[in-house]
Amino acid sequence: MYWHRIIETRSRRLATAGVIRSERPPGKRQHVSEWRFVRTLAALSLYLSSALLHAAPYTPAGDHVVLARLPQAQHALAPPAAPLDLSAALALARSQIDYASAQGDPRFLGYAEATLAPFSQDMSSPAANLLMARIEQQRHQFARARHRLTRLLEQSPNQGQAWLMLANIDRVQGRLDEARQACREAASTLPPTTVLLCQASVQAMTGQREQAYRTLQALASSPAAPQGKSAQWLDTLSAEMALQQGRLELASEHLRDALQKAPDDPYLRYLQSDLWLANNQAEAVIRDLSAWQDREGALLRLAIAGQRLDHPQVQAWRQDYRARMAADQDTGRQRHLREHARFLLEVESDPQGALTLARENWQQQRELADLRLLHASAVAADDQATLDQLQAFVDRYQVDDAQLTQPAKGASE
Amino acid sequence: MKSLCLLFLLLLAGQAFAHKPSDSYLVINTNEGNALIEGRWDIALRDLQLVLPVDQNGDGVITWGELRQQRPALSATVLPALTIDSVAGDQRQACPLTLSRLQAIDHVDGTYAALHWRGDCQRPPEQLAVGYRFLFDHDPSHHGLLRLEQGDTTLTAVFSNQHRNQLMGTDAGSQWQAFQGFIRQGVHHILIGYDHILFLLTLLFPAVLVWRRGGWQPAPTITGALTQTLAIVTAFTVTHSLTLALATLGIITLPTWLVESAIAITVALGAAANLVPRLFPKRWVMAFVFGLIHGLGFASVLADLGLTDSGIFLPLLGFNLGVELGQVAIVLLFVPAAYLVRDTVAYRRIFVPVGSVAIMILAGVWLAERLSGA
Repeated sequence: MYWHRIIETRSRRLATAGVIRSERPPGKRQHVSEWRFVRTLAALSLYLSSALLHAAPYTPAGDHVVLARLPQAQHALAPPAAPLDLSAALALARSQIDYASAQGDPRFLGYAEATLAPFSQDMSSPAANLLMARIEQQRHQFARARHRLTRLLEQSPNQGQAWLMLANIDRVQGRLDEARQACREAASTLPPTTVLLCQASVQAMTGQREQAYRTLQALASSPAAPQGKSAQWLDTLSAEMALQQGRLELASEHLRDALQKAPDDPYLRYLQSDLWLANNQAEAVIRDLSAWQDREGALLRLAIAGQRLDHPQVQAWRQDYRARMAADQDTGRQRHLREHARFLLEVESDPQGALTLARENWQQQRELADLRLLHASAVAADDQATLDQLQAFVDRYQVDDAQLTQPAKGASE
Repeated sequence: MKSLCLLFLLLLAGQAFAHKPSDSYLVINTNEGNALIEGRWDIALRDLQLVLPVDQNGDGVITWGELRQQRPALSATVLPALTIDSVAGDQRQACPLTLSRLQAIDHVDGTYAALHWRGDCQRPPEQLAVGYRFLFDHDPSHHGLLRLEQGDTTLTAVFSNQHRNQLMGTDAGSQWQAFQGFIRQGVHHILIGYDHILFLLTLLFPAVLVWRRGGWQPAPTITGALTQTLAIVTAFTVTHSLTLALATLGIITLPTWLVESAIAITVALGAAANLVPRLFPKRWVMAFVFGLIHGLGFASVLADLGLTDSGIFLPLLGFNLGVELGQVAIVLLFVPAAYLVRDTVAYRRIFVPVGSVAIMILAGVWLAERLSGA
C-alpha cells in the first residue's frame, strides 16, 4: 500500500545518452584530453538543446521524419471511446493508474479520470471514488482527495480502504492525531497487519519510532508475516525508520529486501538514491538512475549526484530540470514543491529560493522528507523564525530524526 | 567521430518524450485596430492521437507524413474546439478560424503539432471571448495555456475542464487603438448604412445637373458641380455631427423606431425632390435639415458599440471622423462618374427619375417596416 506515498509522477520513457555516458567510470582520469573534449561537447549540446526548448515551429525535412514515439500502453490504456460498464471501467482505471505511477506518466491519470467519470460523480460506487481519490492524491490534490474520502465514509463507514487512504493523507499532511484515529477506524474492516503498518507509519513520526520498529520486525518474523504489497510496505517502513535513526547500513538492508520484491518501483529506487547520497555514494546514483533520466525524480537526483562529482553531464541534467520547472509554472496545477525546493537548495545553491518553496511545500506536505528539507533550507538561509516554527512541530509530536540533529548533507553543499 | 555520435545522441535525447501532464500551448496575436487575428496552437502528438488516428499504420511512431495527412481532420474536427469571439460592449461577434499552416514544434516533453490559424473578427476586437473545449472528454486534466499578445502587452490564461471560457480584457491596447477602432466603426457604419448612402446619393444625383426649362440639363462647368456637392455634403455633415453629439451626450433622446422611420421619410423626400425640384429649390437646405435626423440614427449605432469604458469624447470624435471619411469616399466615387455621364440622355432622363422613383419605393417599404416594427 505504500504506493500512497509515491510522489514522483513525472518521467520520460526513452533511455537517453546518459546511459552511454555513464558506462565510462567517472573516476578514470587518464584520458584527460578526451574528457575535456566530451565536456566541450556537453556544453555545446546543452546550448543546442536549450535552443531547441525555445525553438520556433519548423517544417520537417520529409514525410519519413519521426516526430514522436507513442508509449507502448497508449493504445491499450487509452481512455475508452464509449462509457464502459462499472467493472470494466474499474479494471481499466486501475491499470491506467498503476501504469501512471510505475512510469511516472501523469497523462494516464487523466485517462483514468475519464474512464471513471460516469461513476465518480456521486458516491454510489465506493470503488470508483477510491480510485478517484488515488488519482487526486497522486496529483497532490490532497484537499480534494480528503473531501471525497470523508464524504464516502459518511455514507459507508465500513470502507477500510478509504480509512487507510485518509490516514495516509493526514499523515502526509502532518495531522498525525487524525491519522492515528483513521488507522484505528480501519481496524474494523481491514486485516490486523495492515492496521499495524498504518499505525507504525504514524508512530514513526510521533516519538514511538523504536517501539514501532520492534513491532514491525516481530511481525516480519512471525507466522503472520504479511505477503505481497504489505510485505513491501513493511520493508519500506523499516528502511525509513532505520534512516531516521541514522543507521544507513540497516536502512540499506531493508531497502534491498523491498527492492527484491519490486525492483522497478520508483519510490524505492529514489529512496535508494537518497540513501546513497546520504552515504556519499553519488556514483551509485548515476549508475542506477541514468536509464531513468527522463523522469523528473531521477533527473533531480542525477543533478545532485552529478554536482557532487562534477560530472560532465551535470549541466545538461540541470538545464533539463530547470526547463521542466519552467514548463510546470503557470499551468495552474499543483506543483511538486518538495522536489523543486530540493533542486534549488542542492543544485542551484539558492537557499533563499529553496526556503520559499520549502515553506510553501510545508503548507501541503509534512512528512519527514519535507521537515528535513525545510530545516536544511532554513539553516542554509539562516532563517531563525522558520527554525522556531519547525521546533514547535517537532516538540508537539516528539519527532525524532537523526538528520535534524546532524548538519544536513544537502545544506552543507 | 565517436564523440560526434555521442553529441548526436544527446541531441536526439532532447527530442525524446518526457512525461508531463497534458498541456497545449495557444498563442493569439492581435494587431492594433485590425479585425484579423492570427495565432498558433501547439498540441502534443500524443494528445492528438487520442482524437485522431494520426499513427495510421499503428507502428507506435508518428511521422511528419502521418501528421500531414491529418490536415483536413485538424481543420474539421480539432480547430473547432477553439472558438474566439470579438466582444465590444454587449455586442459579440464570432471570429471564424481557419487553419493556415501546419508545422511541428518541440516543447519540453517532445514534439507537438503547430497549427497556425487565422481568424476574421469583422471589426477590431476590444476584448476576446475565447472558448476552449479540446480533449476534456479523453483527459479531464488537460489544460490549455493561452498567451494573448497585443503589441507590447501579453496576457495569459489557463483553460481547464472547469474553466473552458476566458474573456480576455485588453484596455483596448491604447487610447489610440480605441480611437482608430471608432473611426473604423464610423466608416463601416456609413458604408453598410444603406439609408444614409441612399439619402446622400439622391441628393447628389442632380449635383452635376441644373434644372432648366422644366428638365434636367448638364451642369456647364465642373465648378458648379463641385460647389453644389460641397454645399450638400458640408450641410449634411454639420447637422448630423451636431445631433450625433447631442444624442450621444444624452441631451436628445428619441425612440429608435421614430428616428429610423424619420430617416426613411428623409430618403423618400430626397428622391421626391429629384422628381419635382421646383418644390425643393435649395438642396443644401434639405441636407442641412435632414442631417439632424440622420445624426440621431448614427448616435444609436455608437451607443450600441458601448461607451461606458472608453469615455465619450474620443469615441464620438473617432466615429464621426469615420462617418465623414466614408461619406467622402462615396462622394469621390459617385460625383466624378456622374459628372462624366451627366450629358447623356440615359443619365438625365432615365437614371435620375427612375432611380429616384425606385428609391422612393424602397424608402416607403422601410418606413412601413420601421413603423410596424415599433
